[in-house]
Amino acid sequence: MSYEPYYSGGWQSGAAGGTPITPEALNHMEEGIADALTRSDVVNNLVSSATDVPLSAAQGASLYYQVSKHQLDKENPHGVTAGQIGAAPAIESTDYPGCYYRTVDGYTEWINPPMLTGITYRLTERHNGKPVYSLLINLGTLPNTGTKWVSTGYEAAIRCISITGYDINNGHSLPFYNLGTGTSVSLNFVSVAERGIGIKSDFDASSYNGYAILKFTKKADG
Amino acid sequence: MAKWLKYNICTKVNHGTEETPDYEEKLFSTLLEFNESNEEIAKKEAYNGEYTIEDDGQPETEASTDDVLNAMLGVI
Repeated sequence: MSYEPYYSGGWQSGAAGGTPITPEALNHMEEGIADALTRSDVVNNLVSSATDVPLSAAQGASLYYQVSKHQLDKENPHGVTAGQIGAAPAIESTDYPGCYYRTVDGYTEWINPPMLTGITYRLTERHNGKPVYSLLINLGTLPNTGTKWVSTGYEAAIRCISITGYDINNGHSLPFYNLGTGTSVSLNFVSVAERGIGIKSDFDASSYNGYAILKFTKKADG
Repeated sequence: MAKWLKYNICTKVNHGTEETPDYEEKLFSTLLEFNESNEEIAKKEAYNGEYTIEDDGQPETEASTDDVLNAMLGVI
């Protein structure tokens, strides 16, 4: 429906303008506003390029709902890529589907490495700004009372960030403490020339097959 | 003197895929405090069954684990 102005001469200021500011004129404008908010013949003006078509209350409510819903959508609704925000894109390993890495300054940095035993992975994780590496070490059979030391294969060029472990045979975590018997297995990063993992058990832990997950930084990285 | 079992643990790392495996054998040097039971462990898990029994030169009750390992690894 085309718009027809109530006062076709155009509103003019001052008495000389002849603008009829009367109760009738003002009420007519109020009715027009109310009518615009409730009329049903305004259809989907949200996609119109017209600048003189009114927006209904229903359309306003719909618009508000859609905008609010969009604000709450945290699933990347615009499909923004890592490259668009300046990050290297994540690449899925062809050999290990579900494991992703990035290539940064020529280095392969893993987001979630496959964690094969004996392989050191450089991670996207940082510690004090330095790259963090992760290594899964097979500790073999744990001692029947006594100490065992297994080399990491690195000399004094690494610093431990964290170490955790597990026993694959019985499902225990390492270090381990038996609340019933008070027996235990300790697990430590040992700072001797050839950095290694130290395990000490005060009972027969030879039914345990241990693994340690070591995270470390390299002095070579600064 | 405390005795230690010295040997290597071999870990096979597959750099290939399940269909076309490409194994690398990595050796991790290991020390295990000597007793008869632990010697059985060494016999089973030592690479090629090769292990040695060595004295660390330290009195059993006076040295810390780090001291012992340093002595075994030749650290001053």
